[in-house]
Amino acid sequence: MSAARRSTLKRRVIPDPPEMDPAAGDRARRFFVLAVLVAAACCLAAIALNVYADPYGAVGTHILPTVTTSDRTVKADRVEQLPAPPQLVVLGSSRSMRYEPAYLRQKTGLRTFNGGVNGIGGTGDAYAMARFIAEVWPGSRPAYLWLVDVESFVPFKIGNRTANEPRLAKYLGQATARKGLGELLRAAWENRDVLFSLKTTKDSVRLLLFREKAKSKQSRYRRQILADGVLKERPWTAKEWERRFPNSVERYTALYATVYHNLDPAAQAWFERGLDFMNRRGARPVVVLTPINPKLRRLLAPLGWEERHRQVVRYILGLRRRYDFVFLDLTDPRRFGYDPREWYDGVHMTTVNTRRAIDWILAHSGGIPPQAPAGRE
Amino acid sequence: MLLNSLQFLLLFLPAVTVAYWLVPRGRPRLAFLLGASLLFYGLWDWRFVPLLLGTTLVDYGAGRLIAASDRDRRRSLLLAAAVAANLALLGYFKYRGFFADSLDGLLRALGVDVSGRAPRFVMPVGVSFYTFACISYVVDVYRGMVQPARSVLHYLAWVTLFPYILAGPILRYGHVGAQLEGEQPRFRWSLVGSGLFFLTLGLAKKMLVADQMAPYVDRLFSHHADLGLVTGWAAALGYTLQLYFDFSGYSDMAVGVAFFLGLRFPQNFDSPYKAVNPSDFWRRWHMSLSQWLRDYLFIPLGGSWGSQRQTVRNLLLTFLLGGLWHGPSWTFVVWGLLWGVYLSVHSTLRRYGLTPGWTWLNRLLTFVAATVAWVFFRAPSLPAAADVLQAMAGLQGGDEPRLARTLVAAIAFGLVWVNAMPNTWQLQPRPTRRWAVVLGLLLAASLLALSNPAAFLYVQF
Repeated sequence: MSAARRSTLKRRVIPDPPEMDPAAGDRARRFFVLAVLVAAACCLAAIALNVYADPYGAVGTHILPTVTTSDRTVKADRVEQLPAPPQLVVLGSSRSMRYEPAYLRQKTGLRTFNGGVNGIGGTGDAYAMARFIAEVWPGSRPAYLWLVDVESFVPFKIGNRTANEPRLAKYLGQATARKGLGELLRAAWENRDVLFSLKTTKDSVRLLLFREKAKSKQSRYRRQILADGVLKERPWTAKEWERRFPNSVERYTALYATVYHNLDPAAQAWFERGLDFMNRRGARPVVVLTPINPKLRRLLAPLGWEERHRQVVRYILGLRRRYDFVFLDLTDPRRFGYDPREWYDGVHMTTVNTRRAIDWILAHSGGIPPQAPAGRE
Repeated sequence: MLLNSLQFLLLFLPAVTVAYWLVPRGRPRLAFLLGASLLFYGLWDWRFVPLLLGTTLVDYGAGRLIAASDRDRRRSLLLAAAVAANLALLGYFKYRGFFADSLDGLLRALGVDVSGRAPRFVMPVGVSFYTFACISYVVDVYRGMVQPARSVLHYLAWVTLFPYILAGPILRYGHVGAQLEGEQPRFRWSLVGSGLFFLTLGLAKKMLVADQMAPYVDRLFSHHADLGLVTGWAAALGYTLQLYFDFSGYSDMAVGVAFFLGLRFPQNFDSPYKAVNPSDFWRRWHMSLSQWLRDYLFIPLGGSWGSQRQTVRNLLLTFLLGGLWHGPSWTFVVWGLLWGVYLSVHSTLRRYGLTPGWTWLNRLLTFVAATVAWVFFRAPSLPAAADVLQAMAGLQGGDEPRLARTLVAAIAFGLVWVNAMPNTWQLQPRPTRRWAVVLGLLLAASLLALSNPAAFLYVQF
């Protein structure tokens, strides 16, 4: 290397970052302490605000409405308002919410209630709903159509939405069903991740500022769930499909890529408790794995959907030694001759397809309640 | 453990800082620092701690042997061996997958079944940063620009320093190592005050700006085929700003953490989007890397001392390797080459006095050029990058933008910030009550945003 180049390298001096005046001494100490105290005070204030506003119903203070619409509360109200006990109960996630009780009644002659609630996972939600209906209508002995998703066994906590509805939460051992100060503090500690969050704080502030708007959102949602528990009919539109399908791709891609690598033992335990409860009440539930849009299935296949599907099927079939139920795998919608257009997104079907699915289920389960020996398609 | 995690900020950093100043100065303090750094690194993946120690010891040994030898040939051989060992390590862990994939692609094109080939290796985190730091050490010792490390403890404490090991800045022994060898400072509140200043501003950049934009930018890039004119530009500008706030945020945090330990780290960003030409941009962006590339690649290749053709060749080669340094992907290759082309064009125009005279135009051109280049840097593949660029050029038609207000606001705010505001190094930390309250508020908001932390973008490199 030439001397000129070497001297070019040597001349360079790396400057130090700007620094507080070393002579600041005591002022620097006060500055540091004040900044840390302000930060700590703000964090504590945010936590207190989040406990008070409880925007997701995680703690159960119930002072303000939640920003998440609680279909659990609406469904629990609907159960209590039924004129007569249901003879058939539909359980499941949001995918089950458009299985029409009226259509099922027309086909089976049974008074039907749709107890499906929103949320991935949710075997615990279904168990709680079955228990709640039995408690409200103690003499009833309903049949059950349990629409289970491949994703029902995702390792998630029981949704806060159920935890926030005391009538359902009590079956799941949720602290928020209790309202004493000790219980609230315990619930706050258990949900510390939710409470120590900028997003929660923003939602709390929004809730405080726009309380009426949050209430009206809830009442709008209340109007969408009809007396028999089904979601109000909404026609399919290309615009909605274009908007929602990419969202479901994104959501389920993330789910399979990051979270869903194995079945969650807690979700399995709630599922088994549900079957056990139904059997003990003399029911032989029809368990159906819900359809998934083939386009979404193709996208998820390399991420492990097929393996999870096989795992769920193996698991459910293995339970037949201990519980009495009929199992149908309807993940492939070609089985019931689906209309490829009649999907809102990658997993939610319109009533055109849910009716076809119901016809197929009734034809292959031996009816509801099932008459033929349990079997699997 | 991430620098932007509650475990680090509320447990590791306070505990290490307090203990560091309590431990007696000299070797005990260095040994403590080394232990803390190894613990920090090991919490990522303890399996790579022996690799880190082993490879850096090779460079330490090479440095001592080079310094002890007065035979040029022996010194050159030792240097070549040490550099080769570092590059082999980097190549093996970082580029093996890239070459295997490229070979697979070629074989598939030739109709050869390549199923069942060997699986990928996991890359040791920070390998690009500490390898380059080690190379700079042996080269500087060879050039006689630094004395070899006083002891293996000094050397290891420098290489493994936890504030930089994950994502830089790339340290020089002559700068930070010399601080470790010099008289260690006594505790001063002004040091932790300055540290809190940089740490908080860096954390706020990351958590309150970069991470707020990230989900929207990710969504736009994941739907690259559906972008139109507006959404294409939103994706590119969003990432341009996200990357700056993310990486400069990390660099500020590293400076802040170093202050807590009484150390001064080098500047890594100097308002890069105020640059008036590509060369100026690289004097302001990831300065520790661009200075490394200049000192250890561009200048040894001949720099700009030769003909214009040689200068262009050196620029292209330097930035091609600079692109590859970021990762084993064709998108980084194209990104590096593109910057090589920008710099070559600028160098040629400047030589013939053809650069525009207006500063605002130069700044705009440089900013747009950088934004276009970042598309390659961010896109998952070259076809995806082509989709975004076509959208930006209006070739995919206009669109009905449904951009989130948060993204629009963040882009507008970010553009004003990077163009009109001073950068962190231009602010003088003052121990005033007003600054303390502002920092406290920013720190609280950033800590609350940590409920859903994302790794710094440069940790992947």
